[in-house]
Amino acid sequence: MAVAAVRRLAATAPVPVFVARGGGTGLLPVELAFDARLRLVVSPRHATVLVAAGRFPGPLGVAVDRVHDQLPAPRGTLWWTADVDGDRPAALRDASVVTDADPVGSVVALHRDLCLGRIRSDAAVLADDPPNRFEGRGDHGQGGEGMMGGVPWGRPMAMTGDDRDGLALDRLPVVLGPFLPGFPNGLRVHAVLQGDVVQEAKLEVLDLGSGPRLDRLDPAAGGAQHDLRWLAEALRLAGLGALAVRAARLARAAPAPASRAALARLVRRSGLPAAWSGVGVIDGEDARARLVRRLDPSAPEGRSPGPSLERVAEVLVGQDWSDAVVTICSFDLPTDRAEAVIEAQA
Amino acid sequence: MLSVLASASAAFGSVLVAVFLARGWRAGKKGLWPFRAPFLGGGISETHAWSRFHARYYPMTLVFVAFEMEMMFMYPWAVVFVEEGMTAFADMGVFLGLLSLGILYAWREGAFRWQ
Amino acid sequence: MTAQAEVWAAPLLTAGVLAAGAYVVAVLDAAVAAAVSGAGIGRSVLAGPLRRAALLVVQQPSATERPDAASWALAPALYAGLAAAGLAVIPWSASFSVADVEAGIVLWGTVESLAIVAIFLHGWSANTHQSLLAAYRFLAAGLSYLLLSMFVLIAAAIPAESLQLSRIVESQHGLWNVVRQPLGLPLFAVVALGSSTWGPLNLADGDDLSGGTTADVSGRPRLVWSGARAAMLTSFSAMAATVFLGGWQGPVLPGPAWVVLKTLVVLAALVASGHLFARVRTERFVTVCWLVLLPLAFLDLVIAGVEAL
Repeated sequence: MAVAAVRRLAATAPVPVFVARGGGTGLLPVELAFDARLRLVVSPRHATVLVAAGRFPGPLGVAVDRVHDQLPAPRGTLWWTADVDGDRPAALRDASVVTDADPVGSVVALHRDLCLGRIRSDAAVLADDPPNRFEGRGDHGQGGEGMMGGVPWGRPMAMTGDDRDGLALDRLPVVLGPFLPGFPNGLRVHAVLQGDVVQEAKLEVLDLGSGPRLDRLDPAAGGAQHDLRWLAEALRLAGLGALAVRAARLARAAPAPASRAALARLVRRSGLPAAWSGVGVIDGEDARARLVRRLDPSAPEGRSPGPSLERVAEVLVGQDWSDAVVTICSFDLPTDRAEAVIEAQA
Repeated sequence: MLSVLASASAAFGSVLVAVFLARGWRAGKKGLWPFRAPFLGGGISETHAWSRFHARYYPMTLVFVAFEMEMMFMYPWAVVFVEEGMTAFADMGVFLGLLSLGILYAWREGAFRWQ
Repeated sequence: MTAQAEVWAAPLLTAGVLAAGAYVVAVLDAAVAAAVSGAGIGRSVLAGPLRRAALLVVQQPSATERPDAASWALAPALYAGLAAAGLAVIPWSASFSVADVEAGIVLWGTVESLAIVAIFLHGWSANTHQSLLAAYRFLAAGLSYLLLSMFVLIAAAIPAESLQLSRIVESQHGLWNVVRQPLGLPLFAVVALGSSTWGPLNLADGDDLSGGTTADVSGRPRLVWSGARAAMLTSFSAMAATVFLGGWQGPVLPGPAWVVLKTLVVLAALVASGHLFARVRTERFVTVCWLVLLPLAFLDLVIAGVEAL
């Protein structure tokens, strides 16, 4: 009785949505960002609905499968795509498909049905195996000698390596992305972390496929719209979710200069430019400068196509991971640009 | 004091029970392996996250300890300050002055920067 | 009240105030977010927090490959317990407080220090990368802001000639500390935001690390953690109202009403700051803390001292 009441209440909650952006979507899908019935969340652990937006060929599909299996029950998946015949990774095989411009209604309905138990939560798509076999000696198969080695609980412990401060500390090889806050579509970072410092970094853009796009930017205002989408993503990264929603709302259509200027004023006052100053310097330009340039409504165009992935990787080395995320976000790497933006830049 | 303890333990206990009821003692054993993998945005890690972490701000923590010790003297000092007057003011002034020099020295040595 | 009845009533009163405070924080947060985003404040801000809580109740709690399960449960419990201990020493009127401890300020210092331990533990226990990074960067900020609080609270104790909070409130008769020691309240607000890992100082649960210490937490464990954070913010606001805004003192209305009103004002300001100011960069915050804010806290102490002599 009480449980049913709690479930009914949960069914009316704003739907926590985790968005995985594939190919042909551009940045933050604004249709989802400003609707009060939804709440975009930054971790699949916080979501009931996974919205996979766009195309997911090859490795991008594997990444979606991983994230899909990390959502807690009740969980459901929605594939929002302009190309239903495209690659369909395991996680999307049973997903409801939305092809319209506005998936919000479908998301809300899915969440309600899941909470009320009308439909079953998605089953896992990956095998229930530990990442590595438990190997070695010991009661729990932890193995190894003393403090080192072995694979306790299916993963090895980190081993030491020299760092830039002349200390020998643990190195953590990780593959991060592409579905992280501030990351452009398909970007993946292969990094070695020591503490929070990036010791080695390699950037890779996963195959995003080709075909019809989901984001339909206004050819006349595509550049400005793209800038606002990017700003929404940046604001979300900085913990300014409400301002991000405001930016997303403006990004729907060609924005009015006055409302854009008002938003820019709020962003300048938020201290975000100061927080980004000195971070991710390339060619004498830091993240702050890149932010300020996009805040100026009078000069939305004329941006450079961005540095090469190799140069960005060079800048990441030596930064702490929080700064690395800001750096990656600030470059607005052109991994998946709409034609309208490309034209506006040309 | 008993009431403080009672309030704190009540909040402590109820939250502890709530979490244990939800997750159980063996939080690692519930759920499938892919569910339990660390969230890395669709990426993976070769190793566990626990490691000998390089906390590069450790010089700052030493400065912190120096100040934290000083706090113990300041509590009784604050109570008798008005009574003792100028003497107390001068005493603490010297003490804080020395510690401030310490901060300046630590700053010059780069204790608060770690990039 | 007899001593025995008091010990039984204290947990109920404290828990009730903290639960109400957590709800108010959630409502204020939704209202400010709606206003800043330009959506307009609707009725949903009142029911929204309850709905979200209900969802977390029915959601499956997350697990990780090899967490420190005991610490993972202890961290939110310790944190909530500290919020309750802090609130218990707040005097509600000239004649009533749950526990008017003689060394109230010292007890608050303990609450603040151990809160850092609780937040770090919450990030560490999951054994996942982003929560661990968040825990370590929070620690750097925590060890920097902690001293500010000690200095401004001791400055408030000087004119009262006591570490007892009721005496500190009485010492503000006629002139509140917010006027007498103008640096105290803003510096204490920094500590409040840091200890509740809120808004511009949300380094532990930041969105840039996918939710930081909560990146791999779902369901009821996440509900209690969010609740405990809001409760901590409430306790800190009540403390700010007591130490800097004259506590129960005020005309016409009874003492407890003044404490609640002043607490709400501080809460609203702190919550609003979360939507208007970007998250600080850890390293820069540490530098600013030691080189700007800490000297300002010294100055606050000097002002208090000179004024008292």
